[in-house]
Amino acid sequence: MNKQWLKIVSIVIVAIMIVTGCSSGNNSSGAGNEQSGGGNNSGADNKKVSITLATVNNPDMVIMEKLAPKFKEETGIEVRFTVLPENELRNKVTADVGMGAGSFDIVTLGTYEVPFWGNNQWLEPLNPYFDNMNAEESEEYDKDDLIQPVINALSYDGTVYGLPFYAESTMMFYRKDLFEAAGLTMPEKPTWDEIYDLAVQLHNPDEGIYGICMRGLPGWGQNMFIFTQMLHTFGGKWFDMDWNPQFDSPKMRETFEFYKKLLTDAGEPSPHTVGYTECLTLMSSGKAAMWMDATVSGGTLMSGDSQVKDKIGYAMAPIVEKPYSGAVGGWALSIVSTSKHKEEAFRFLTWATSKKYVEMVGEEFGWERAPSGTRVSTYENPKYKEAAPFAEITLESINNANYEEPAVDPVPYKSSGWVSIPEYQEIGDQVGQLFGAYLAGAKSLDDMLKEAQDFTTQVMKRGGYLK
Amino acid sequence: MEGRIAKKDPIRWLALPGIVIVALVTQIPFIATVVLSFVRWIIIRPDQGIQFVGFQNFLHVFQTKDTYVVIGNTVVIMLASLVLCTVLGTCLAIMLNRDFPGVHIVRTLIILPFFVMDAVAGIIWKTLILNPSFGFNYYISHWLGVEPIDFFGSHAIITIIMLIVWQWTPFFFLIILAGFQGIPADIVESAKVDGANAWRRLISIELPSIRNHIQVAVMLGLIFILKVFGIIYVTTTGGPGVLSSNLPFYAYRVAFNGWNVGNSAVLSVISVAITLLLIIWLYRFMNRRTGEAD
Repeated sequence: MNKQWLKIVSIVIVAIMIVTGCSSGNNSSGAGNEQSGGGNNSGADNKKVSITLATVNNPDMVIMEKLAPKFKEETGIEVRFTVLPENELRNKVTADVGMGAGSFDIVTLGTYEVPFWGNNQWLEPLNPYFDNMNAEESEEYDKDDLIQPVINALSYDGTVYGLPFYAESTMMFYRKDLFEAAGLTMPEKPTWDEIYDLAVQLHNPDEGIYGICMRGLPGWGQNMFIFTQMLHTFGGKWFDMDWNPQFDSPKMRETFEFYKKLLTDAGEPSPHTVGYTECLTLMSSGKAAMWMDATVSGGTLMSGDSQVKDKIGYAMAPIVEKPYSGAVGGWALSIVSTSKHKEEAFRFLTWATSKKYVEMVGEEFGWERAPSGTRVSTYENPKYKEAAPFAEITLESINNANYEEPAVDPVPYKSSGWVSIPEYQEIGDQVGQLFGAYLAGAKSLDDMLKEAQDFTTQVMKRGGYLK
Repeated sequence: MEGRIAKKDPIRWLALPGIVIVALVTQIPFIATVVLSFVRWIIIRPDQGIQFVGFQNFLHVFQTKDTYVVIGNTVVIMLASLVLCTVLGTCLAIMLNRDFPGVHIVRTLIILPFFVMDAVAGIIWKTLILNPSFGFNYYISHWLGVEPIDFFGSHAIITIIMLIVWQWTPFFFLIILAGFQGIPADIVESAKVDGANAWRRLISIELPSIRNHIQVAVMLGLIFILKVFGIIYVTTTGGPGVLSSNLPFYAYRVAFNGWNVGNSAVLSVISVAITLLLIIWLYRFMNRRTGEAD
C-alpha cells in the first residue's frame, strides 16, 4: 500500500511538472493568440496593438527609439525595441526568422540580407502595401523620392522587401592638417596607387601616426567588405559567369598583395585585429592620416568626442580600373513574414522612412544626424547640405555604386562590398579568416589562395551552383 | 542481497522527478545535438530543406584541415592553462596560507579577475592593455624605444592562454587555499617537532593532504577551460585563421557564420567526446597516483 502510494506521488509530481510546462507554454501561446486577436481587431482599435522591432544599437536607431512615442501618439500603436550590437543582431534575427520562431514583427537588416531573405520568403513583400495606399498617403510618403540604387539593393526580382532607414556608401576620409603640413594634396577621385604613395609619405609610427587605416578584422562585413570593393575596382571578381571561384586569377592575387603591402608599409599595426570600430577610434583620436570606410562615419567624425572635428577632408573612394568604387550599404526596415501585425508594421515602416521623420530628426537632433542616403529631398535641403559637408560625395557614391554590374567583367552576382548569395556569409567569413592570417604573416599568399579556392568551391558545390 | 533490497525499496520512486528533470535539462539537448549531426541543414537555404545524410557531416569535418588545428588548439589551451593555473594557484595558496597584516586584502585582490566577465576582461585586455596603437603596449614600447609586440598575431594562442590563466588561477587558488587551511594543525606541529623543515613539510605532509582539493580544482578547471568562448570571441575571433580557435568557438563560427547546423553539431559532439575522454583519463591517472602514493 505504502509502495503504491509513493509510486503514485512520484508519478503525480512528474505529471504536474509536465502539465505545468505545457500549460505555461499554452499561456504564452495564449498570450500570443490574445495579441493576435488584438491585431485582428486592430482595424477597429489600434490602441491595443504593439509591434516588436529588432534593431542595432547604432546612434541613428537610438534616435528612432526616442522618437517612437510620437508614432504611438499618432497611431496608438506601441513599438517595443530589442536593441543589440550588430553581429549579435544578425545572428539572433537570422536564427529567429530562419527557424520560424516569430519573435519579431520588424527587423533592421543590411542591404546584403534583404534580397535573399525576400527570396527565402522570410520577409513580407511591400509592393501590395504600397498599392493599397490611398492617394493622400502615397503623395505624403512620395516613394519616388527614395534614392533608386538603394531601393534596387533592397529588392529581389522587382519586389521591394525593405525600406531604407539610412543608407551609405564608402569614401576616403583624410586629415587636412597633416596633408598641409606635408605639402600634399588629396585628389578628388584618388587611385589606389596615389593613396599608397600618400600613405607612405604620411606614415610616421614613431609619432603615433599611421599613413592609413583599413579594416583587417576577419568577417564578411569587416575586412571582406573593403576587400571586395577593392577587388572589383582592380578589375577582379569573386566568380566567373559559371560560378567558378576566381582565387587563382592574377587580379585576385594582385588585390590581396596590394592590400597587404599598403597595410605593411603604411597601415596600423596588428591589422587583423582592427575592424570598423577600431579604425574609427584611430581616426577620431588623431592616429591615422587616412581612412577608407562607410560614409556614415563622416557625421561621427564631426561630432561627439572626436579630436579631429575640424580637420577632416573628404574624397571619393579610391579606384583603379572602374570609374567608381563605392558600395550601397546601410540599414533597412523589413516586415517579417510571420508577423501577426503586418498592417501596423507597414505603418511604422513608412513613418520611420518618411520625409517627416527626416525633418523631425534634423530639427530635434541636428541636421548632421538626419538619416543619410535615403531620400533625394534630404540632399536638396540647404540645412542638411550646410551641416554635412560629406553629403555630395555620399550621394554621388551611392548613385554610381552600380550594384547590378559591380565588376569590370560580367559577373553572375550583384555586389555592394559582398556577393549577393546566401552562401557568401560563410564564404566571406572563411576567406576573411584566411586573409587575416595572411595579414598577420601566419599564412603565405599561395596557401591562402589555395585554401580559399578549395573552400569556396566546396561550398558552391553544396549550394548547387557548381556540379 | 543488498542490491535486491535497494531495487525493491519504494523510496527509489522519489528519485523519478529528479531523473526526469536531469534528463530533460542535460540529456535531451545532447541527444538532439547527436541527431542534428546526422542531418544536412543550412539555415539560410530553406529551399534545400533538412536531409538525413548519415555520416557525411562527420566525414566532411574530419576531412577539413582546420578541424585538426582546432582540436590541437583545444588540447594545447586546456593542458597549458591547467598546468599553469595549478602551479600558480598552488604557489599563491602557499604564500597566502599564513597570517600577516593585510592578508585578506591581498587574497581578495588575487580573486578579483575571477569575478570579471569573460567579454569584459577580453575587451579590457585587447583594447586598453595589449593594443599596439593605443593600449599600454604602445606606450610602454614607445617609452622603451622598441616596436610594440603583436600579441594577437602568429602567437595569439599564447595570449589566449595567458588571459585564461589570468582569469582562472584565482579559482584554483581558492580551492587549494581551502585545502591548506583544512590541514589539521596538530599534524603540521608534530612534523615540526620531528624536525621537518618547511620544504619537507610541504612535500611530505601538506601537498599529499590536499591531493583531493587539487583533483577537484583540476577536474572543474578542465571542464570550464574547455568551454572558454568569450575571451576568444572578443580578442582574436579565433584568428589569425583558426590559430587561436578552440572547439566551442569553431562550432559557433560554423553554426552562426556558416549557418551549417549539421557540421556545427558534429564539432559539438567531438567537443563532448574529448571532454569525457580527458576526464576519464585524468581521473584514472589521479587515482593511479593516489594508489601508488598509498
